[in-house]
Amino acid sequence: MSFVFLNAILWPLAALAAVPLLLHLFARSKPPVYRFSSVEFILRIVRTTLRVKRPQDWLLLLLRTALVVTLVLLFLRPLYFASRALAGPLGRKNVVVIVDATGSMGCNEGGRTRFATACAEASEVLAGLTSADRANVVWLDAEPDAVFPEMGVNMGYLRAALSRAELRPQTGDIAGALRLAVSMLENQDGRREICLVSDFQRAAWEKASLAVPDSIRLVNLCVAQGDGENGALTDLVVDPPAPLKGEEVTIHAEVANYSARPRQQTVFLELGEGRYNQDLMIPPWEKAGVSFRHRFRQPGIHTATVSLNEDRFTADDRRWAVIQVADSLSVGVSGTNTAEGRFWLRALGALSWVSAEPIDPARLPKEAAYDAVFLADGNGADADRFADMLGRGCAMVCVPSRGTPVGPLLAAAGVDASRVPAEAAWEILSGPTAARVARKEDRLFQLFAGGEYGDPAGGVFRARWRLPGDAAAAGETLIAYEDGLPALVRYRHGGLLYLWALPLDPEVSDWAARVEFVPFLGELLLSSRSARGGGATAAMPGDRLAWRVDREILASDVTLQHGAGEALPVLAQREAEGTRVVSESAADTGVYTWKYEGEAQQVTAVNFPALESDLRPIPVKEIEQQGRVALAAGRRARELRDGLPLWPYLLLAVVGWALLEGGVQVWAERT
Amino acid sequence: MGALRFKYLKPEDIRKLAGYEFAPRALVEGYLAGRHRSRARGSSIEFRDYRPYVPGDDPALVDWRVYGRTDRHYLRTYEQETDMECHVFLDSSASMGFGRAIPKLEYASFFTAALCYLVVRHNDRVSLQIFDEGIRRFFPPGSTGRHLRNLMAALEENRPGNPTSVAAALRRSFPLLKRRGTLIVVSDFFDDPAAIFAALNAYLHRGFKVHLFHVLAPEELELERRGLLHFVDLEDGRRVIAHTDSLARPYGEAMRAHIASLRELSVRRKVDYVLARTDTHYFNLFDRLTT
Repeated sequence: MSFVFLNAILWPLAALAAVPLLLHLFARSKPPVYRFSSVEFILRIVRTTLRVKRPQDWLLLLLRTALVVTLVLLFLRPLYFASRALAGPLGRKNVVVIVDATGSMGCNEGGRTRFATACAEASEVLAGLTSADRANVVWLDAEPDAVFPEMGVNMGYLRAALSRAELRPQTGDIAGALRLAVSMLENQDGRREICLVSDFQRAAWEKASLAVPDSIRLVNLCVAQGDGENGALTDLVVDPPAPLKGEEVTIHAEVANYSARPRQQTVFLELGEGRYNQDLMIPPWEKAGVSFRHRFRQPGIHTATVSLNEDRFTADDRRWAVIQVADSLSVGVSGTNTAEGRFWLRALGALSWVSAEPIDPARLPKEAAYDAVFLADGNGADADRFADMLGRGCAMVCVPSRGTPVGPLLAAAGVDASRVPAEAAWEILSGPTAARVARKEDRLFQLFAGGEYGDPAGGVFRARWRLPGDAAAAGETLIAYEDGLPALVRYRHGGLLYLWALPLDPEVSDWAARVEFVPFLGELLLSSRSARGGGATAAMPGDRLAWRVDREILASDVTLQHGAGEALPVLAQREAEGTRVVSESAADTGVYTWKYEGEAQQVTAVNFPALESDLRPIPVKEIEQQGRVALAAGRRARELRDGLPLWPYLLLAVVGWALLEGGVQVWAERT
Repeated sequence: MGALRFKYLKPEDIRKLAGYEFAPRALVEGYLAGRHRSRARGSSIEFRDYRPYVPGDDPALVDWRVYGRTDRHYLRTYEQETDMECHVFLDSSASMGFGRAIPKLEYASFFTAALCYLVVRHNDRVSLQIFDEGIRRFFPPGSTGRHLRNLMAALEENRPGNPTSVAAALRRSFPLLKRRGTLIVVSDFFDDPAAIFAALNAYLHRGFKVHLFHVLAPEELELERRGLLHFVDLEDGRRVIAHTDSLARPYGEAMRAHIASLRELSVRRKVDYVLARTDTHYFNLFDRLTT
């Protein structure tokens, strides 16, 4: 703790402190003489009241002296420097100001956002630096970056950058920002400081590590002024994510109440021409959900916009979901010369919403896009291609017969391929055996739960494929034989991979002839649809959006449009199998539409990160517990660096002394 | 007497005094037959009492009718009307020199002069004693014009000075007064009331009718608010620095208590007490003395 006097030249004025004492003594020694008839009464009174008057006189003298001293100090303009403050006014300093530019900083408090306050505070810090100092500003967002590539001296430019800065509705990479700041301070002479200006939102900062080298001083400047009561849309789920035309779709919105009071919210859904709304009451600090049901009559890309009635923090009051509605599911069947291939193709043909076709894996183009592929035969040469399709979300149903590349597919599904034989053993059973549903609670069997649609595993089998035990252990056994051997196993990796050990040949099984077979196959397809529906994608703010095409195109023919606004610049990257067009970071939330030669090709929904909706800050004391300097909201970092001007307090003290002196004088007169 | 020209007894005042008659309601003992009722039984027409004859009594005073009825000698005694003696004590201590509009001593001198004139005019005798802490001057009782002129001259020559001690002056004066009468003390009474009345006890026991005229200037009654002042006592030169703003209220209370004390003791001892403010005309004081 130290003081600096800006008008130290006025120190001789301190002699004025003696004025009240001198006046006191002078006034007492030279009052006008009054010849009075008898001072007996006066002496008696003075003697009586002296015990009271003398302390009053001393008190008055003290107050008047304090008044003059405070006045003198006022003119000296003292600055107060706290011991734990930023570096003092002397010596060269290197300061990196990390400004939190994440979504929660958009909270409006006291007429301006936390981000605006943070920028103002950061600007104050920079304004306190001298020409010998070096500084930089690091933006804390999804991809932390700095204004200068290295420490600079142009404070004006940094302050201008702060004044121009815009908030990005993103989460922040705290560790990355600190790393960047520390790296900039390395090899810098003089004192090194990092000033972290943030709202210290609990959800983001609670588990964040603020570890910096000991040689660097870290000052946390909290700009949050309260809990920031907020109602937020935290999630939007479409089920099924890639519906078919006419299929009932459930759009489920999750609404959070980040406040200490119950909150009534109206949730609006805009879907094409339709607009729906539902009310819900959410308890304090709780979440609640609301569901809308809809059937799409036209295939294509649809955008669902869910919104809340706006509050002080509007960024999270709206979410978007892009829904790719398909006319039918595209299914390829390989091995139609086998019983399984033949029966699959026939059964799929009975489903009106499935477009099934036989495929030849050897002639299958690389860009072939199927929702599902049934493999009844094949050879190892195509394994990589199918693994790639699986990785892109395509469902694969494989019979572990001769030539079917089970091993590489299982490897793609996360199973150690070296432990799985390429083929399962074909086993002729001595007697017929039945199969049973092993996971009745699985969505695949939801339709059959009531019994109206029969038993989906109700066939009789005289032969079967015996899957190795290790292969089944890595997946989920959906149907098993009576003796426990797995009959249908599912693996999850990108798309779903099914190992089908149930023979359909009528000579060894009657399952394909049963009425449950076709519904079962339909349920298998519906439950295996990829969450990534073709032209509908989702991304987070700050992500680079990408669109991949299987041919060579020019970036100039591609536009990425944000809502109804202007297009974002894009860059085409040549790849072995086509072109990947990427954009800059999607800074704002909303719907981004990729257009090629004016035609919409892909739509991406960028939603506000739910993490940023809980605006409660960590108490300053908790930040301090991390062993760092932390400042409460409203305190200015400049005060720490440039010192806290004490003149307002001194002025207040002067007024206080004067009032007190007046009070004591009145009291003295009355006594 | 109308041609007299003195500082404290002006012709216009004499004319005004023509309407006043000094007749205190008290018995006096006098040498000459006069207007005033005396405790000395004498040859007047007002019967007072019987008393047994003792050798030496005038046989003419024996009531022979009573002797005829009782066969004993009784004397008839009568109330004797005699001239009055008025003893005026004028405080001339230094404190009496205080007063902005008119010094208290001047005010008291005007009153004393008029009082002496009134007494002498009715052939009564008046004595004057000018005192401070002791007896400064004493004029024995007289009723002549010459005596009055002497008193006027003494008043004119009189100057305030020395400390006050009313009690001491009263005690010293007592042997000087041969006959009882009316005792009029004109002073500012800056003395202990108990001591004053202790000294007056002797006079009261002897049958003096006592009048106390407490002469005070207005600024003594209510201290003026003049800020911080260096008070200097006119009598003993004691000094004290005090702020009149803070002093005024307790001083006023102390002065009122002092007056109340004098008044209470006066009532108890059947002494006539009058507060004489110098901002009022001294003629008003005669209302308490004249009939």
